[in-house]
Amino acid sequence: MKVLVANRGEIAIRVMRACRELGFSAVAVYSDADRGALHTRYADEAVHIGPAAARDSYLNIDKVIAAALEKKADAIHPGYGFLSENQEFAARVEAAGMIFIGPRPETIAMTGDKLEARRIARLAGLPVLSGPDVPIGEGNEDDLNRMVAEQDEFPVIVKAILGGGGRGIRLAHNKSELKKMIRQAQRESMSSFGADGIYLEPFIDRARHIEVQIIGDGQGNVLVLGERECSIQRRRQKLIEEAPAPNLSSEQRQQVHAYAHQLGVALNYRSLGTVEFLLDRKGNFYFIEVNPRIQVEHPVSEVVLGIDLLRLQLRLALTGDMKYTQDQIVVRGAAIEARILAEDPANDFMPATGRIAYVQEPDGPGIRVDSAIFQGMEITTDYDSLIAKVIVWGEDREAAIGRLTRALQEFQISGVPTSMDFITRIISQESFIHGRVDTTFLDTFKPRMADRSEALEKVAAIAAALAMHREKHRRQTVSAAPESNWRKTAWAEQMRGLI
Amino acid sequence: MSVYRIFIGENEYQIEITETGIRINGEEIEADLLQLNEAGLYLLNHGDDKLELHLAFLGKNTYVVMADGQQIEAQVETNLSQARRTTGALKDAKSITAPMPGIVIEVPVKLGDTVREGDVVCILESMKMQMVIQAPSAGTVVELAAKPDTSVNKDELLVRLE
Repeated sequence: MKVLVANRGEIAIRVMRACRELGFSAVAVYSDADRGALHTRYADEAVHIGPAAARDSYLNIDKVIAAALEKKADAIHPGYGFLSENQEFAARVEAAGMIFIGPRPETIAMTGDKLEARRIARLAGLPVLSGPDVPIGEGNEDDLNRMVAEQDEFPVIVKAILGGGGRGIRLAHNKSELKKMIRQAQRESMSSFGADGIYLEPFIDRARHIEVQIIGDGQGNVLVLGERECSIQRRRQKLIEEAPAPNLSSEQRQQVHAYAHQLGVALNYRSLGTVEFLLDRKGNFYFIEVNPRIQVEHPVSEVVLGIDLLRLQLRLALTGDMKYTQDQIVVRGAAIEARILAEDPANDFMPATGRIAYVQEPDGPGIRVDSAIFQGMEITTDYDSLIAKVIVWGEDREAAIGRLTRALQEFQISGVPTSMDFITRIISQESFIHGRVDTTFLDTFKPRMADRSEALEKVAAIAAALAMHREKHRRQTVSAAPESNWRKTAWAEQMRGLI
Repeated sequence: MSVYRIFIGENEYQIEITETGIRINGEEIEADLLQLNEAGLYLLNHGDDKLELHLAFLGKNTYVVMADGQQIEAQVETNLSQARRTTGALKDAKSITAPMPGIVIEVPVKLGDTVREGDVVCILESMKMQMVIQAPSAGTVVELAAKPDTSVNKDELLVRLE
């Protein structure tokens, strides 16, 4: 059995690890930027598919399929992002006689069209946010003006019909802002998804983001694999996720699981998927969308369920068997994931680039790190800013928070600014500790990031002075001695070690 | 005796290293830097405290010291070299620079265009995130440094207005 993994970074390695455990061989694809990447090295075989820009490599369907055919792969796993929610890709993989490890192409089409997904969810009996179901876009100025004129309730959310990954979404507070936000959402949608259709959805203030993991066999059987809380978000990108969701009554938990199950059955869902909901202050759930793929935050579910979701997904794709029955699905303890992003807290969390000068990953009981970074690795602007995920398990939520705090203290990354310190501050907040968070948490949470202790600065100053002193001394010794190429080389080696 | 002036952000530390000891801002301290490996890992013993840290030499007398999860950029000025402190790129109100490294997606203005405050002058993309750069004030485009499909560094000039 040979599986081509059409992705890069930590998720590519995650999939390949599952392949290796199952005795499958894994084929990587890589761009110019990823010649020395960990996923390229980890794979049994690797195929170069083009330049760094994703549209010419990881998003190029022809090249990915050609690579799979060349290597005689039996199946393709798309990971998340890139081609994972592209119906054409899924269809062409199947047309080429390979297994697409994911939902059927028509399911991807239905869930990819957010308005269509909303319509199906409503038919399946799920609560759905009311809003004009009429899409606007494709440059129709009259539709746009009418939509703006008719919108009276604010704030309102503007969403790309083909949206995903938090892109193509804007919040508008009033009529004059609405048109501008629609334009921005359309522009982002056009460049990310190749179409500019958008729709409006009422904004629910201080909602929580709760999502349910499902798996289906495509024969009408759907298992619910627990829920996750993903309310800590910045710019609609999740930052911290956990399982199970804290502070849900057992009725609420059963309710949201039942909704996800209903929709999974209605879609005759195949493979892994996630049904996303908002939970308002009154305790009502509203369906938002289905993610028809493995998600970044899947490890928190794996850890509390004791089930390897990737292995389950690969096995299901091959045999059609889901292995478990619903009564065997039991959640134990609590898990939290922190996304470590290459972004600069001192520059409004803008994406940051650089070379990883040093990395030491955390270790010990209850800690898992899914990453694809290594010392010397160049972080470029070409791909996602996610460089590592730290996942912890604790016998309860309090233990998990303590473990995550320790893990983030142990995790050392130098050379590129990261979100790590910021996450440490979030998880020490009272509201987080008590599980009282909502999607607006980070709008108001503004820790002073610059309050570095003077003591630490002094220590850094001493270290820099001592290092420079040593270097200078070494240089003087070298230049005092007769010129020798060997010595010069040795010094250059030393300096290289420092760099 | 060697004297080093260390600049970290707004702060300055003077460190004197002699045969017998170390002083920071005139205060005598005990400190010893133990190199742990060739990859830049050190252990700094100072007084009764110890701290594992990583030193990366960036050139231009600058080290990035990573300790306790913090990355601290330290510029060293020696009593021999008296290297000049480098300062951040000069910015004037009319130069619009990149707030993040990225790829230029679109430059919707041309040379000689007059723009109003808030007009979009450039769209950048980095790590899948798009950013719309707006004119901070009204003016005329006198320089177009940003070109579509090229990459720019943080603080690099995109458009200059007059």
